[in-house]
Amino acid sequence: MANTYATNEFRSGLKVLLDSDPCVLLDCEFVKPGKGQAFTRIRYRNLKTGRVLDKTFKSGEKVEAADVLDTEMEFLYSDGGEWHFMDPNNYEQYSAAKSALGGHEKWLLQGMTCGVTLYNDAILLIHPPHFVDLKVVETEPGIRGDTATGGSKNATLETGAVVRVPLFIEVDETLRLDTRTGEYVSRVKN
Amino acid sequence: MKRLLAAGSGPIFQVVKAFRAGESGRHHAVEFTIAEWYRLGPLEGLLTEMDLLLGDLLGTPPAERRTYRELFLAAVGVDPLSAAGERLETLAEAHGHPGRPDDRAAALDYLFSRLVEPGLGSRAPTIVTRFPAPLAALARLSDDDSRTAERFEVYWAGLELANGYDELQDADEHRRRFAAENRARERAGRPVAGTDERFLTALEAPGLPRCSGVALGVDRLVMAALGASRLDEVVAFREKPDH
Repeated sequence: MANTYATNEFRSGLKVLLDSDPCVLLDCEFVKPGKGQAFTRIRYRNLKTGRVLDKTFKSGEKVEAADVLDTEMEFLYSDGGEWHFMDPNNYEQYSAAKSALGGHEKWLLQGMTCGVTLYNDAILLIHPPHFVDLKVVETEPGIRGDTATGGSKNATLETGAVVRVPLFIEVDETLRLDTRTGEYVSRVKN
Repeated sequence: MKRLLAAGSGPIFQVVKAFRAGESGRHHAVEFTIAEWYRLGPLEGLLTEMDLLLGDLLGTPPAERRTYRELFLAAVGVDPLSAAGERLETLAEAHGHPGRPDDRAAALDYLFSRLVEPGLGSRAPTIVTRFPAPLAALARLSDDDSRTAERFEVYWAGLELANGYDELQDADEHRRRFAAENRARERAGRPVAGTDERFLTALEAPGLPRCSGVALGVDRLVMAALGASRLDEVVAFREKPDH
């Protein structure tokens, strides 16, 4: 029998199964309308879909714990269909389907350390670092002396990601990018 | 206290600890403090006194009085006195009640707490009067409408501070309500309360005088006075620091 949590054990951060999806509790509140039944009202995030929802339980109800673990792994390579990661502590390898990358695959470079959410010992979600440094492999030639106008152009990075960059950026330069917004932050000295 | 009233004590009060097993949250604690007091006569004197007390302690403007029915109609759009139980139970379920509520009272309580309470007492304390009869607890039914009871609650900033009754005097009606309460507890799988025969005997002779009583949550009052957002900010010992 799997672990369960009763409503009086609810606290934010707890990982539980709701509608058979792994979820994390964000907020919980004991409510007792009138003299009868008491309730526990929770706000939670579905870890699969990312949606934040509310739900009310009768006090004393139990929910199944979700075997969810947040850890860090090194990105090894992609074979196009799957992305392969390694746990640096035991060298165990895990593969992630495209759905676990959530569009973040374009930031991944071999050897990069990523946050990983494991569910039932399989990769549920990959969280790339907030900032990554990547080299420009292709862009139009830089226009010297035009740094003040704030114009921008496309640059293709070594991972294949295409981002908007200032006009003065050249091929082979390393750029710092914010993976949450997908935006250029600054140049990085090689 | 009601036995003292029956014995002729006249108006009385106490400040005392109350206990509720398993109740722990932002606005609830297993152990809390209440100020409970009784005045002889119907509700009116008690409501005026409550309003003056809150004005003195919290600096609140004069309380607004609203009937349960008008508040419920405005927020839920359904008449809490005449709507079919079925309709209220379905509505409660639609608003997130886990499963079907056990009865009309449970559906009303849930909908009120979900849709009405959060907006109460924003400018001035709100005194909610004339609760539906299924929520009468130990209040007498209204003389002019047997669908409502002379029970009231006081809200300030969305928080319930006090609950009071124009006290039920009839001993047989007490027995009926205790029995109904125990049947409801049994259905819900909660422990059944024993019968307080000494209280019931005192109600028969000499009998409870016409009186009104209220319990005011002292910790919540302190919360409101200090602008605290959680009960455990104002009590000496926290039960669950991380909850």
